[in-house]
Amino acid sequence: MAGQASQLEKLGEGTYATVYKGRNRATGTLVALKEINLDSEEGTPSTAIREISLMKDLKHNNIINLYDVIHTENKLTLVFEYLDRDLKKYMDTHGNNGALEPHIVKSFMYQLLKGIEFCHQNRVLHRDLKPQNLLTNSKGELKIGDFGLARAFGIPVNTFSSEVVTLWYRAPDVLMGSRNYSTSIDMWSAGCILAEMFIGRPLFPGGSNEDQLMKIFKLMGTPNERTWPGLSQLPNYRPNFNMFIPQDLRTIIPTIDPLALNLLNSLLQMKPENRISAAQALQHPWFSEFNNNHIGGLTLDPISQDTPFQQQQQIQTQAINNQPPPQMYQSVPSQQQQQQQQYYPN
Amino acid sequence: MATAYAYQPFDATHQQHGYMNGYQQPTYYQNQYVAQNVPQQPVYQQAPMMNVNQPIYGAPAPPPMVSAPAPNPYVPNNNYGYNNGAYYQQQPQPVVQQQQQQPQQQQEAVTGGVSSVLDYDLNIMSKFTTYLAFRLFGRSDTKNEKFASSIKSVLSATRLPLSSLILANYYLVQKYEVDSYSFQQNSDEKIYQIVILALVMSNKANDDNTFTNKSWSDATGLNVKLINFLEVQWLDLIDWKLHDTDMERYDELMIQYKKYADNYNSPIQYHSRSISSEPISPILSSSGSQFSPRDYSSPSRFDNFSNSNNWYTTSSSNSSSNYYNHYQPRAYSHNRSYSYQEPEYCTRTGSYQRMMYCSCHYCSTPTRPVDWSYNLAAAC
Repeated sequence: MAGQASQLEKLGEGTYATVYKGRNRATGTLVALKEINLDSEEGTPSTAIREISLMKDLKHNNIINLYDVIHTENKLTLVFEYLDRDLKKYMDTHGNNGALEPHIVKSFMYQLLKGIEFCHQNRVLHRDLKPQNLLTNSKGELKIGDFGLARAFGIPVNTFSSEVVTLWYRAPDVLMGSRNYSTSIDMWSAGCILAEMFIGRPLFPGGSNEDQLMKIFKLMGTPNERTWPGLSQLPNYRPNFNMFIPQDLRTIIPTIDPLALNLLNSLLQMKPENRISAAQALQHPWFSEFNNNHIGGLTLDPISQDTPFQQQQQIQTQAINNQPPPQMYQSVPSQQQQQQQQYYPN
Repeated sequence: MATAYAYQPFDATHQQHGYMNGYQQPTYYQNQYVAQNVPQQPVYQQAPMMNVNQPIYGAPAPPPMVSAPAPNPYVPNNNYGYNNGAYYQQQPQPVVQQQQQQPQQQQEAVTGGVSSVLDYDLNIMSKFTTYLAFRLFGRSDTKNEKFASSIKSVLSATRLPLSSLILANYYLVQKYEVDSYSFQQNSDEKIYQIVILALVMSNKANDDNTFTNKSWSDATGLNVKLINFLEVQWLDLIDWKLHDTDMERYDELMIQYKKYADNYNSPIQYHSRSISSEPISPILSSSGSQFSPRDYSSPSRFDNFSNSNNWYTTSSSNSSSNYYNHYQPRAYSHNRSYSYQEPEYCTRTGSYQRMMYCSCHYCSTPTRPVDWSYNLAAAC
């Protein structure tokens, strides 16, 4: 390891890179070091080129920060900000059989959508959103990582690969072989992640392309030309798909708040054009407490770096300590506050 | 007239210099751990392109390329790294290297390249690329057939989509802005290297199916180590910002290509007047361009150079181009002429008419066809 970073334990091993925990010798800050061995035949891997090139442009609170690139003869090291664990691990350790508390789900989902919105605003498709690629820390922050499969969509291209996104989080239009997908591909993944946070396991754990489609159809209903015009033009369309009628998602997530259910349904639209965009999703009434600068009667300080999650924790702490909230936060109790209380019985 | 090109003597020393600074001392990469504070210095800014015969990228010098074992595609008998596609024919088809999780497309890629159906004409695209590159490198022989055909063989082996090719040209212009110094070395092999590298980078940045550098080496005849080296150098130069594309300028390049293609397809190409009086400017006029001033309007100074260059004179088959390069209209005067092509059917008069063209300075950008039964003034 060159320079000022010292390498600590190994965090994970991917298909083309190994990630280590590291420490900046000068400042003592923890970092994640993604080491890519350079193959003399391949040159610089395109995944690395894209990840670096895209992430240099994407500086946002909910996207992992790329600090530096160290390029040596046979190794390429990307230095990222360090976060404790990915969402998958967080769910395994903090969840109730993997399922998270509704207020945590809401906070994570809000941050995920913020990150996605920023990507899409900057004309970047992530194309591999899944809990393993979302990182969290003890402050309750969530950040999007791993842009190895990402691509810019500013330049019109007619040769998108349909072999993108980990199968379980892959949108039905992509499963059907569509090659002109766009931002909606990430929104489907976001829907799958939202459901997974509620139920603690993947929503559509398919074993193959075909099986994946069937699992989706069983829950969301088999689409047809009427519900999805143009469907029969897609390469993997078969007229003899097994017919299923749409199920109520509450059969799977019984405790879900009606607003959250509404958002989930908007994300899990079969027809890509009907899927809600990240910007729209952020305006969803489920997130009203974040958007109106009020959290259950508390005014958010827009300059504060605190995430909604932290602020909620503050509320919780205040509730537990039975202390009156500070004067500056005093505000008229609202309907939202009552709603809030059903999450915070204590 | 070679003496006019004073950069050549200092070529060698500067190369040495830049090379040592940039790559023999890996210390450059150390100590910069938190990069936000330390802007990446493009070390090679003063260094022209690397000499092929120099060792590449490692402290203990590898043997010089010239003495490398048997098939060294980069040092062929004619001293050019390409030979009208000869390398492409000798070498196996490049194998598309897929990103993870894409096993099923691998087979179709071996036979094809990136896209099975091309949305452009290989001929025109290779000429356009040659044209643009030669303009950037300050070469007047922008219709260089030999160069264009070697580019064409690379394009037909790789079959990149149109967007990637326009993007490659965009990267060329981008590099020119950051590092115009390296464009002073305008031998064919240097231009070839830069153009190929632009293709390598746009393929990696823009396509879902990407080639390895080895495949590029097979398709182009460039040594894979050279490709690796130039790739690293280029990425550092632009600070890895391959996706920072200014769409306005990208679109402008696309329009230039379309114009070029239209001109190419139009009957005017059969005229004695050559396209090389440049309806298309390589200089993108749009905002924020930082081109160093280079006088494109008087190509004659390049002509002198070109004549001292063997390669140019042997391949220059277009006898008229010299005349037109020197041609400067003194006053406004139209220059009407008839198309050499078959008469065309005119729907308005119901007869076959020969098309009339005006190739004067004003009308020819781009040259407009005119129905001659109409008022002749309409031509201009």
